[in-house]
Formats: sequence, structure tokens, C-alpha cells
Amino acid sequence: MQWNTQQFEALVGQHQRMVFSIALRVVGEHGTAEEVAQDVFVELHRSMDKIESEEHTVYWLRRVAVHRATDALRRRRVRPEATADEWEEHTSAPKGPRLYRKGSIETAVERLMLSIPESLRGALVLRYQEDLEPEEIAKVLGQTVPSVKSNLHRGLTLLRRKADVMLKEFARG
Amino acid sequence: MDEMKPVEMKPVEMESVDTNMDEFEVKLREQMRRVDAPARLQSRVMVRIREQERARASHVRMWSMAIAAALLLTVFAGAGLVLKQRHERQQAELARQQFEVAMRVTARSMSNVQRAIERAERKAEVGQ
Repeated sequence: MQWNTQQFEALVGQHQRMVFSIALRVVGEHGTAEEVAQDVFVELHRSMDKIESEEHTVYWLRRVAVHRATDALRRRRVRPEATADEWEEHTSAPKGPRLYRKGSIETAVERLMLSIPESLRGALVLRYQEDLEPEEIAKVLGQTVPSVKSNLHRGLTLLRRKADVMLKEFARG
Repeated sequence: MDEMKPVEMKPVEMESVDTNMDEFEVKLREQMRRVDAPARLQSRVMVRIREQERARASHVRMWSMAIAAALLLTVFAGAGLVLKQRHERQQAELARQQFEVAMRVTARSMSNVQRAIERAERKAEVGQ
């Protein structure tokens, strides 16, 4: 597809919420998420000759956003990855920096997302934020459908357990 | 160039709940709505892209100049080589012509000598 600068700017405006939200929920930090989102769009601009359609653009952006966000997370270690076993030992709220506005609707779910291993976040974000089916997630992430389903199941189980702990802490005051 | 059409985004409908999702998943989906990107994101992306294009243009210009210089050098070197070869050919032709002249002179001299010898022999035969 051929694009001029104005068209590309419109494309960025159209998809920036999606790309930024994916990056934010994977890396868990606004500054890094913005850098990732910028990198994704700059990379898209370089790859425009490979983009075949509008649907391909969305697919490409989702795929690259998840991968670049995961890369950034690994590079910067914003929050070290916790294994499921390690996670069970950490039943208190995450001790990372406050990343979101206190009391905002996102706070609880974002903190939950940051408490699960980074390898599970991409699938969960694509499932619950982007509303994709496991088959579509598998295509975007380049994984098998059983692997995606397993990651979703594991991630959801962790989130449920963490949410229960948070709820109990809240009830105790 | 194809006109860019608005991309039909798959809407994240909170109302149309997947029946396979339980209450926790439904709440999770509701709370994982897309958030607004920073206001400056779009402009920063475009600044980076323009910088990238400028850098690419500058790179292309630099390479073009380098290629032009290399071509010019090649042309000069080629022209020098051609001139040198032409000069060598001219020298060789001159040498060949000089050799031919020398050979002709030599042949004439030899012929003269031969004739002188023949005359001398004939005189000697007459004297006897």
C-alpha cells in the first residue's frame, strides 16, 4: 500500500489507542508504553510496502505491539517476571511504582496484570482488551492454539487468585 | 496511489457478552478497555518519521554524491587509459613505420651491393 505523510498521520491517530493500550498493559508503565508505541508506528512506516490491506495493518500493529512491548519489558525489567510458583508466595499487592492514578478504574486490573508473568500478558491483553478469539491470538502471537489456550487459562487462574487475595485484603480493611 | 480508507475496527462491545465468559472474565473485559494514548504520541511519531525521512534523504544524497564521484573517477581513469593505449598504439605504429623504412633502406642497400658485386664479377669475367 502507498501512503503519504498525511494518510500515515491519520493512520497513527486511528490506531494509537489500540497500540498504546496493548503496550501499556504489557509493560505497565506509561513512559515505556509510549516509547514502544512510537517505535511500533515508526517501524510500521518503514514496513508500509509490506502491508497488504487495512485488516493487515491492524493485525501487524497488534502483533508488533505485543512483541515490542515484551522486548521492552525484558530489556528494562520494569517488573521482573514472576513464575506461577513465585507468585503464590507474593500474596500482597505488587510493590512496584505506582503506575496509574490512584482510585482510577484501571488501577486494580492493571495491578493484577502486572502481577502475572510477562509471557501470559500478551494473550490476556489480546483476549480481553482486543476481544480476539484464541485462534486469532495464536495467529497474532505466532503460537499454537493449544498454547494460547493454556496461557489464557493459566493467566486467568492467576488473576482470579490474585483478585481473591486483593478482595480479602480490602474486606479486612 | 490507493486512497486510504478508514479501517473498520472490531468494536469491543461490552454489552454483547460472550456467553462462554464467566462473571470474572466479563468484569475483566470491561476494565480492560483501551485507554487514551498520550496527546503528544501522534505528533512525536510524526516528528520521528520526518526525521527518519530527512536522514534517509541525506543518506541517499550522500550515497548519490559518492556514486557520482566514483563514476567521475572511473570516467577519468577510463579516459586516461584510453589515451594511454592510443598513445602506445601510435608509438607502435610509428615504430612499425620506422622499421619498414629501415627495412626498405636496407633492402635497397643490399640490392645496390648485390648489383655492385654482379658488376664487379662481370668486369672480372671480361678482364679474363
